[in-house]
Amino acid sequence: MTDRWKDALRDLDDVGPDESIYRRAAQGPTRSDLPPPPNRSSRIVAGVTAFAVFAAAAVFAWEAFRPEAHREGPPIQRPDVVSLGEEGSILWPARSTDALAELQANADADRGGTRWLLDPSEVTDAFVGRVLGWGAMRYEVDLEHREDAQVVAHVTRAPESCPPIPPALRDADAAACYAGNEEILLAQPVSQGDGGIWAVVSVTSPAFALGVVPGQVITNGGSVDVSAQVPDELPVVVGSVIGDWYAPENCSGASGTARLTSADGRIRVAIGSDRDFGTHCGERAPAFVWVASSTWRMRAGADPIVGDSTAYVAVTAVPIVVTIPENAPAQGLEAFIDPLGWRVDYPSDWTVTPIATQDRVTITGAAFSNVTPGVASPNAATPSPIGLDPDNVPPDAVEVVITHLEGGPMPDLTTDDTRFPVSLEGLGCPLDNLLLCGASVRGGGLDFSIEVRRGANASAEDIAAAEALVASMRFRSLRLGEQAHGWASLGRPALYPKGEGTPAWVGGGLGVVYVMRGPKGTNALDLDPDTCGEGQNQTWDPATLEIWIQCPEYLGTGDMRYDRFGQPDPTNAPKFRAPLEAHPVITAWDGSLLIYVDGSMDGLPESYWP
Amino acid sequence: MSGRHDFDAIWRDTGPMIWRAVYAYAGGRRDVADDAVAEAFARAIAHRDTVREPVGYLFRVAFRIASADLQQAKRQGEPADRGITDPEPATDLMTALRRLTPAQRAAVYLHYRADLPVREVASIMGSSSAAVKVHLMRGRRRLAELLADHEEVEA
Repeated sequence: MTDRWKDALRDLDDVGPDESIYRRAAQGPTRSDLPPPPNRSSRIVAGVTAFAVFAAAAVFAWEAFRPEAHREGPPIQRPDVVSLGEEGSILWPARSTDALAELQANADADRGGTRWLLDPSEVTDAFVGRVLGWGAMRYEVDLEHREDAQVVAHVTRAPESCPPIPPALRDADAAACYAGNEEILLAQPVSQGDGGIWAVVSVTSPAFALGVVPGQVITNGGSVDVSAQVPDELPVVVGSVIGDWYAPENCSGASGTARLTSADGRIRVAIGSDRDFGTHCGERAPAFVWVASSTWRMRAGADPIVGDSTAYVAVTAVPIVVTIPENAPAQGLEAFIDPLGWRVDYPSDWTVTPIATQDRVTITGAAFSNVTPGVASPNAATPSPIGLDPDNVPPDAVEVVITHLEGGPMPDLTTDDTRFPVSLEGLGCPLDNLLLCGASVRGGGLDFSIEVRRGANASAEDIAAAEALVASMRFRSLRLGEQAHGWASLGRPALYPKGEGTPAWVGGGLGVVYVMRGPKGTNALDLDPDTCGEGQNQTWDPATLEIWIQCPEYLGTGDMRYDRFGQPDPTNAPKFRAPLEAHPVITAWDGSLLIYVDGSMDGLPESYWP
Repeated sequence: MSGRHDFDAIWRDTGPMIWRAVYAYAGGRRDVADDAVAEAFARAIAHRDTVREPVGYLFRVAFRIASADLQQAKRQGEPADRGITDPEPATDLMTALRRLTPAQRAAVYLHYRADLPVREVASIMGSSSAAVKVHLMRGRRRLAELLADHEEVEA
């Protein structure tokens, strides 16, 4: 009986794809994580309604995107602003020029799922539903077609439609319905006319004003004026988002504050350098600043237009460009960025040899050398691991090889990342004394080998360059919730108080986990919510150090309980008497916590929480 | 023939296997499998000049797209069985598979039905061999329990 399922797997052979799938594929990619066309059933089509253009930002935007030839009068001091369609000039549904061009190409080819982008009304509806969170509310839209070929969508919530009111604000119904109108500026960033896609340039609420125009260039560390006019009961969150939140390999960062100290304030636009914070933004990145209010708690360090179903009372968001001078490589250096997320700065006149070999194991990485040709990739003659030969090196050569091996022995999943920067001497490889040396570092939960060798007559300058190269090694930081190579970021440890269990959402099939930050270490327990059904709720009981799970589908059986090691309470319903799966949690190089999502441990060591 | 790889042949030879693996991973959601596999092939064809190992690429991209779709459906509060519109009735196996985690489903199918070695399963899932073994062990154990439970209930 126990292997019946093996035969049963053959049942799946009875189902399969039809040929239309391949025909669809032949027409090219059709998706870029876009929302589906909105359901228009809840929309009220209104007649023409006159609205005063409130936001100064919108006026500035019109000026900024106006063709130069139309400008009149004496020259005035204008901020540095990129043109419409350039990186940093569009807010939604994509921010990078590549992504917008791809959308336009899909629309040109009439591929499924993109026709809605050709209609500013449809784009407005999608934005209102997905980003403003007003999809379930009644609202009116009045489109104003301007002479500069842009469109302003005046969106007004119906008086009876308010965002959901949480218990703490039950007496603030009027506050929740405050404002209730938004101006959405739309333009065609790629090609104009009937076939051009429409995109949201900015969104402006009369409740908030930002002292910036769409596409304005701001230097990292700069700030933007913000003013708010909302009732005191409503929380106001301001922040900035830098990079493309949707592109996992690109730079992305978000910061903000959950409150304005007064009606007027400033939004600081800042992101840490690539070198010190693993941001991978380069010298210039698209971004946007925002200010919003909601009746529900909002997260400051998040992307407010990601479409997470938050229903905003009011929101203003404007795209900008951030320049990051500190990310410019030093004179004479270039940056090498590996697909696994590590980077180093190497001398411009050195040879770089990418390494990618697949045999019994997979080795990837790169070799850096001051001679040409540099270190050869592993092959049948020089099998993996790299195995640098100290007797076969030019006398003046200095070479550094950084590789990751996949498919070898199981790494220790409980070891924290290395703290960077590292030095060759600190790694036990002082090149001034040794001709060949190897060391290991760990970043992003992955282990890397650093091998260095030099010839007997290598110059002190080249040896110093090799040491600087190794010292420059950094990794890309994962943003909260992002997954890479089997690990997912849980964010900063401060999110998880010591001595407590704290729920966290982790994608990739895990769902809700409980991060158990014991006195001597951290682990995570997978609650496996699929077993409990819809409506599951869980909480941490500090008195008993237990997780309590309420399962509506199991009414009458009481709460389910698990101790801090994942062991079930004997009184649990029969289906809840198996131990919870435990996942390792480590501290990444940047201080954030990483959970291993691709596997679990058979149990938790009691020593971590004595 | 598309570029340096013959995607027509790749579709014929491995398309159904990739589709069934994603179908199992998605817990029997044909719509998720259709979209993910179509998009994966579309992207592979579009990037045919840079894709070195197309079958592995197709598996990885299809799984990633399916994973994103399932997460989005979950965030939007879709019932777990939405989209199961196959004309084929849900089998005991599929009912049991849905009780496994997606990673367990994928590992079990790829290893025990697609006959792929653990190392290749790990490569496809972007995971390690050890992690796949854990998925297999837990998936196997749970599947056996679930199918046994089902049989006992029917009896």
